[in-house]
Amino acid sequence: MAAMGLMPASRAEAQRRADRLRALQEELLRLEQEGVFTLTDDQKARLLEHVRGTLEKLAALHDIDTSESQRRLSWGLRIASTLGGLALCAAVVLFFMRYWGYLDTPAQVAIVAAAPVLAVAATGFAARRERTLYFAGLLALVALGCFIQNLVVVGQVFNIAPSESALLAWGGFAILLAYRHGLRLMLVAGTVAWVVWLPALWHGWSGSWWFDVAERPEAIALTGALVFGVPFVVKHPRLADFPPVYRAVGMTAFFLPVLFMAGGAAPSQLPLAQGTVEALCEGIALALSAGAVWFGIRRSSEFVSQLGSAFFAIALYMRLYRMFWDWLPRYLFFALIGAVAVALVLVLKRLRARGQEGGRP
Amino acid sequence: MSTRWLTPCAVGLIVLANALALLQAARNRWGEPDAEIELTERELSLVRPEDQSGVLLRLKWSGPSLPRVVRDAAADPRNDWLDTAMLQALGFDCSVPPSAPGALDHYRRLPVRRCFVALRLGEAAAGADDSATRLAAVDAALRAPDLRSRYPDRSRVVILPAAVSVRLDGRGGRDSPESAAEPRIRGWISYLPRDINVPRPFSERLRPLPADKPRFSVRLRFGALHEPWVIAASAP
Repeated sequence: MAAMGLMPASRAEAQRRADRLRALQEELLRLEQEGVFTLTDDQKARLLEHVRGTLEKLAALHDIDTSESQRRLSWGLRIASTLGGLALCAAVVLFFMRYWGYLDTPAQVAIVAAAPVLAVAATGFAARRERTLYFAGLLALVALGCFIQNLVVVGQVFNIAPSESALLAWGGFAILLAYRHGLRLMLVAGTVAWVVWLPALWHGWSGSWWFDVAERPEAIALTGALVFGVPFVVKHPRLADFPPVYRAVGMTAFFLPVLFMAGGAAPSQLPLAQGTVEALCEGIALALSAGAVWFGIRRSSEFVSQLGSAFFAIALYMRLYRMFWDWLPRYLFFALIGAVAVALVLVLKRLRARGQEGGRP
Repeated sequence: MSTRWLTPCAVGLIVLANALALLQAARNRWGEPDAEIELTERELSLVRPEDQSGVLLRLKWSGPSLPRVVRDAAADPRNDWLDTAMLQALGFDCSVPPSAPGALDHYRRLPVRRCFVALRLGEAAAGADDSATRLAAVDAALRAPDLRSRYPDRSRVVILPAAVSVRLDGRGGRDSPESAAEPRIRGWISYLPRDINVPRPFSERLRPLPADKPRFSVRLRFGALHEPWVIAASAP
């Protein structure tokens, strides 16, 4: 079994290797059936043994899905775990609100501070017992919910003015749990909290209230760009599924405010006329979303190219709306949209064909 | 690399965040209070949400609040204090005349400003009924000590952190840039902390009160950070 080679360090990498192995085995057997070549009985036995042994080893190490039915069930488990975590959060919050008025202040503070600590301990316990992390993910969500409730209740009990620092704490907490146990949902929660916190901090420093952070769309977009760049600086050899999370959150945080500014729905702080800001943002959205598609293709990051395509299409339709909505008859406007869609399909098909040619030996 | 050390970090973060919040509460309550004031059901709504056992008091005040209130209350001279001069003192750039081209864009993009607002316990507005609040926003400043020096009566004037926004009245949107009214810069208070937690044992006195027109009085103390807390509550 020395031919099994080095075992992957992360569960995501192990899953990818298992998928490749299963596909290889199926394809080889199919090619043999089609008469492309013939495997001797010994070769076939060795192949099947190798694949079976490697899959068993990968499953023992990382508890991965080794069949299609297992994979489908895993998705169900993930969804159930997330929904269960959210429901448990709601239960904890509502239970506390139902009874907290009957408690003295020290008891209120002690209970809400102890709850996230206990939930962190429970998350660690679950992660040690179960490598698939469904229960750990569920309990980590509960821990985050308890910590949010903790700071909200302490603020309420002492009538403390709401502060953006709470977002820093919640984001940091979620990111710590994400890296401790390899939980993507926690990473999403943590990065989203920080994407709001950084512009809120800047907003507060400039003499405004932090919760009006939507008035600084440029700051949110810049923070989104920073988050997108995290995987370039921080390498994730053990957590191969974390970089796509940074890229997805970063792209969404960048393009949404830029598109809102382009549509005139968010007030920009740039010292430019409103029309200039809208045209500038439209141009930025078009150019950078096209750049994201290119980046996704170059880096084989399907998710980035798909998200980039979606934002490119939105930006393009916004441009068409501005250019033609007022003076074209409605039927002609929608005919134009349809024509652009057809053109996009043709361009993407050409790109795809070029990719196929590039893939030929 | 092992990630075991991240669990103690997460727990440490919980402890640190709680310690900082408690420290802020202690700083607020430490030393001489900024104000101590007695309010009744006229200035405070009793909030007891269903399925919740907590009791909250919600501050009721009059003054330049929501835009529609600004318009409705434009005739009330007591709301005129948040004028262009005051807005400039609070840091708003009001250099663009309201009727100038581009004024709408200019005032639309001015962000809200953080400041302090003085609420004075006085008489209710003329013509208001007996249940109308007597607490009115009367002044604003960037620094709380400036306001306190202008309103030294700590038993009738409380100072709260607030947010002030600006709008251009009398100008339509992009499609209808002009309207019949003369364009005018108006300021309004867009945020003022309003909910005050009622701890035990005071909550036990207020919880049984009837939902319809409860009668009570509450003594509030405002600390160094202008955050309030209940020090007495009574119901007849």
